[in-house]
Amino acid sequence: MSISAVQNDKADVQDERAAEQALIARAKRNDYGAYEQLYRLHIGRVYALCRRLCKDRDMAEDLAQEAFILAWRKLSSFRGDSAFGSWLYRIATNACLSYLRKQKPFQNSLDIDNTEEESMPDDVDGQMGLEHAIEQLPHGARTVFVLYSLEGHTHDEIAGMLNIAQGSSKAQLHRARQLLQKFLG
Amino acid sequence: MTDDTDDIKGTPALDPVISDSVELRLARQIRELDREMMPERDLWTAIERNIADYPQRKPFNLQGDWMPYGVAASLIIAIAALLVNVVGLEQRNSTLLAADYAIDSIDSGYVNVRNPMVDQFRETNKNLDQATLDDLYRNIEIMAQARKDIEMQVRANPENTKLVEMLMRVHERELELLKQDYSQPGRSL
Repeated sequence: MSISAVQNDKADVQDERAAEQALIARAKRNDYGAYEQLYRLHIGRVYALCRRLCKDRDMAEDLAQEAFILAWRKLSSFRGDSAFGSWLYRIATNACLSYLRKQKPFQNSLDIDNTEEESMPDDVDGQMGLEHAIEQLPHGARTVFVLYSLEGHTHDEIAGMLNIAQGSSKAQLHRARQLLQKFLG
Repeated sequence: MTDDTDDIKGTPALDPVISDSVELRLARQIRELDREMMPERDLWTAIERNIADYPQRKPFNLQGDWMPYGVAASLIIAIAALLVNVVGLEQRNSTLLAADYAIDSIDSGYVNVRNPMVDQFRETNKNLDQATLDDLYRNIEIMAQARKDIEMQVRANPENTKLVEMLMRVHERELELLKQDYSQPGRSL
């Protein structure tokens, strides 16, 4: 890639960031149209995160909705120290984890010693797609895999979010990868 | 960021070639995975309905929420001190001097609060049309003039508590006026 292409890309990113900052500023002044634009920009990633963490489509939609409502209520405290997207995904992640923590199977599956007891799909030798394979993972392994491999969190961060040891997070990730390799054939 | 080299001790060793191939394939599939999915129903309608009940409020800051109340509290204390002084002084000249001194202190504190709020007011309402802005600034000017007139009256008649109360009300009203965001629907003088 040429230097000018890199410079153009950098300028595009800066323009996008500036446009997003302008939308945030307008939303902070109760401009609902601006917030709708922010919603349209980020709903895809927020929903994908919710869908992969909680599996259930309806619940994922409810959680994505809740994330945007919570973000609106906290918007005045958003100072722009981090990207708006990162801030929003963190809110969505917390909403999902808060929901999952209330589910007993999820709590049980965070203990790596309990994961053997979870029911596994019969059709494990097929060439299923990665998306479907992620859905088949046990709760704990899936959560750590999504947060680590797809969302880019560190084991330290995940351990804090799930209130588990870093070693447990690493073990869950290892298990997720093993199972995915098995599912993917 | 993540460190994909994490591993667990004690796992059975796979053939390195097969393991690398499987790992690479998984890594490639993860890279190619869609980062976005769209929900089947449009969530915006429900979100919009919900957030309409929670309008944004200005963040807590010096020009914002607590300052007018702080000013009001300071004014009450200052004016109470003024009245005590006024009652306690026997000489008319001394009374006037004390009143002048108290009013100067109050005015100086008040202006220190008011001026940053005027700047904030200009910034908040800069997108309004010129006619509305002219109208707003005219009203602010009227309020400021009323404040100055009442201050003069208080200096001349420090025993008149009604004048002092009126001055306090004008201070409060002026700060309230400057706090508003008139670009929002339903806001007017």
